[in-house]
This record gives sequence, C-alpha cells and structure tokens, in this order.
Amino acid sequence: MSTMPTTVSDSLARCALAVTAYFSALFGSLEVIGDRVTDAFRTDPRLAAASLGEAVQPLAAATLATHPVVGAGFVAAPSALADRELYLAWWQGEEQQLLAERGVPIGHHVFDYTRHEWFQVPLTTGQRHVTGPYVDYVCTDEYVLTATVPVLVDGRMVGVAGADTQLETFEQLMRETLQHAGDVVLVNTHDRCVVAADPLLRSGQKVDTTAYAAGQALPGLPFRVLGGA
Amino acid sequence: MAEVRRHRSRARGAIFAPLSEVGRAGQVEQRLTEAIRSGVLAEGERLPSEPELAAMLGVAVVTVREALIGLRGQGLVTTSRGRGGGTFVAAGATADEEALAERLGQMSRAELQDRSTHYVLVLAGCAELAAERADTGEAESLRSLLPEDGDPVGVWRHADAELWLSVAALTQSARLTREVVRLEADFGMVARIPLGDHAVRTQVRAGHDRLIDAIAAGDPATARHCARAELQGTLDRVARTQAELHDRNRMPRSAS
Repeated sequence: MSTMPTTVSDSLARCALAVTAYFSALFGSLEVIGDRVTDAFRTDPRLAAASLGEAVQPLAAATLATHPVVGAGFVAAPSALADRELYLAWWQGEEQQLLAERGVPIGHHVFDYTRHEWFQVPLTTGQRHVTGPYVDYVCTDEYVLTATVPVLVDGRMVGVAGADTQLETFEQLMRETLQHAGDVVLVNTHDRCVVAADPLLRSGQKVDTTAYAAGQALPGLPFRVLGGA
Repeated sequence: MAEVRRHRSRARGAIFAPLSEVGRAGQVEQRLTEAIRSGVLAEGERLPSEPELAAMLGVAVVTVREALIGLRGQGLVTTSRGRGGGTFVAAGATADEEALAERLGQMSRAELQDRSTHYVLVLAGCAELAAERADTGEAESLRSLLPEDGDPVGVWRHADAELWLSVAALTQSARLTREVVRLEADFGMVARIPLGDHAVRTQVRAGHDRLIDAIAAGDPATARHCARAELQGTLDRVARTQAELHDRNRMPRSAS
C-alpha cells in the first residue's frame, strides 16, 4: 500500500530508497562482470581483446536483459590488454551491437575515453561511481547516467565495468516516488539536478543547494536528495 | 521471427527482402570509404578486427573480408600480420585535399550558402546554451581538445570537429548533439577546408580560445557571437575557394 508522504523527511527517505534500490541492483551485476574480468586476467595475464570479449559478452547480455539499461560491458584501462592499447568490450542497443574500438566518432582523440568522468573517478578514487546526466556522444548519443565500478587485479586497475541508463528511463522509474513529493530534488556531485518533483527543474540544471532546508546523502552513491526549499 | 509477413505489393516485398551478402560487401566498403574520406576515421587508426566489424555491422565475416579487399584496392587501408598487426587507415587516405575540392566544386553556390547558414546557426546556438549550462570545469576541459601549433592539418580538423561536438554535448540535449554529429559527417569536412592554411589555423585557434573563455565565464551572448564570427569567417573563405574552383572548371568559350 502506498500512502502519501506528509513530511519533507518522509519524501526524502522515499526518494533515497528508490534511487538506492535501483543502483544497488545494477552495481550488483557490474560487480559480477568485474569478477569475471578479474578471473580472466588471473588465468591469463597476457589477456587479449578477443578473450576478454568472450568472457564479458554473456554477462553483458544478462545485464542488458535484467536491468532497464541501454548499454553494458567492460572498458579496458590503457595497456591492460596484451594486444590493444584501449578497448571497449561493450554492447548496446536492442541488437546488442559491439562497440570494440569504435565508441569514438571522430579521429584519434576518440579513442581516448580515459579523460571522461565515468572512467576517471573509479580510477582515481577506487570507488564505484555514477556519472551524469550527460550527453554521451561517444557511445549511445543519448542523455544518460553511467554507472561504473573499478576492476582490480592484485591491486592494479585493469578497467571499469559499467552500464548506461537513459535518463528518461530513470525518470520513469522515479515518477511515482516523486509524485506529491513537494520540492524534492535528486542532485549529483556537481549540484546538478538528476530528477526533481518540480516539473520546471530541468535535468542537468544547476541547483542552488543552499536554498533547501533538508538534505540527505545517499550511502555509496554520488547523489544527495534535497527538500524543504 | 518464424513467419514471414505478406505485404500488399511486390514493391513492398522487394523493399523488405533481405539484402544479399554480395550487395552488403559493397555497402560496408562504401560506408568505410566515406568514413575514411571524411576524416571520421583518422590516418593510422586501427580498424576493429574482421570478426568485430562483422558483429558491429551485423554482416558475415566473409562480407567484411570482401569489403576490406576493396578498401585495400582503393589504397585506403593497409594490413599487416603478426603481433601488433591489423588493418589500419592508410597514410594520406584522409588528407585528400583534391577530393575535398572536388566535393566543394560540385556543390552549387546556393547549396553552400544554405548549408553554411544551417551549420552556423546550429553551432552558434549550441555555444550560447553551453555557456548558459556548463560549469567552469566542463568549459575548461574543452581546452584539452585544442591542437598544438605543430600538429598536422588532419589532427587540426579532427580536433576542431571534436571541440564542436563537445560544445554540443554541453547543451545537455541529446537531440541537438545528434544533429551536430550529422552535420559534421555531412558538411564538416567542407567547412574545414580552410584549415589547410597555417594562418587560418592560428586565427581559428584564437577564436576557439575566445569561445571557451566565454563559455567558462558563463556569458551566452558573447559565446554565441564568438561562434558565429569564427564560423562565418571560415565559411566565407570556403565560399571564395568555391568561386575560384567554379571559375577554373568553367569551359573556355573559345574551345567550342
């Protein structure tokens, strides 16, 4: 039974629960992909792109089938593979197209995905991360949230396992929670709105966090829910 | 699907008939040729392996193999064997100034003006919104995309395209970004013909710096103005080059 929340803290908690439930389940699948990749590197320290792809493909397919995501897989760190400098064992779309070394619309810069937040943050912090919402013109050409976890082999990061959720999908998942939730807004580490109860607060818009009286950090996620403006 | 649906007419049936693998090799070759000629695939860039390309394009491996033979025949790719081997975009395949000039020469003046108007308006609008919506960190990260003075012209052209795509992404609109991807594939290489001139590169670089300054400062009006001025300046050069090409191509009257 769902009851209408009556207080700001009630609204914040309901929002926090919904966000955490979605990403916890997704991160669970990404950890499974990460474990498979770690095993593959332990079995063969000179792992090649083709073997990596074979190891990841069934789990990426399962992730795409289990969660409402548009892309999933593993992205290799520079020089982690024996035969490629950079590599995306990443499948996306209804046809589960392989990205491999595409993933990059233009020229030599393209290949260098390492400067992007979804790769940089797990690399430098060793923590799981959600990037976005941002327009991913490298892979999906969609407005997405990208969840990534670092994958380590004996303390060395060999890449990130990740999945893309379209923002509009996430918004639909959150719709019921945000109904009648007053002025509750979910913001990322850049203080940008992810989703909000207020229809005029655009996803991606910078939020003045000081205008809100109440806030709650989400454990293990780079998000906060705010309310009580 | 187990059952093949019947369509009302034979014409419809022909449209929905499966493509033959023979025709597909030609399609794959054509698509990769355009990608290489337009500079979307860079010189020296390694193509995905044959099985990967087959998986990405949804065709058989033999089809990819056939298409690659065609590309090798055109001199657009080279293949090496052994460790570190693979198929690479051939040197000189992308920086084909002659092919670019030919494309520009075949375009009418009206078409160039029409395309330029569309291109400038969309990118100037992107710059305006990017300045409104990006934070300083995002704006500053654009600077890492700028090429160095000594980089070859091919690198400049790629970097320029990547910069505008990144600006488009900062609008936070996926539709607008896809529109810019389409514009770049369609018209970007023509718009970047003047970058073959070193003096133009220096000017464009200065224009980029001013544009990024305006985006970082959160000044939409200036960002829009900088983008328009820079793009219009380059496209005016394209128009003059086109006029020269048209003059040169005109048959002398005395020859008839």
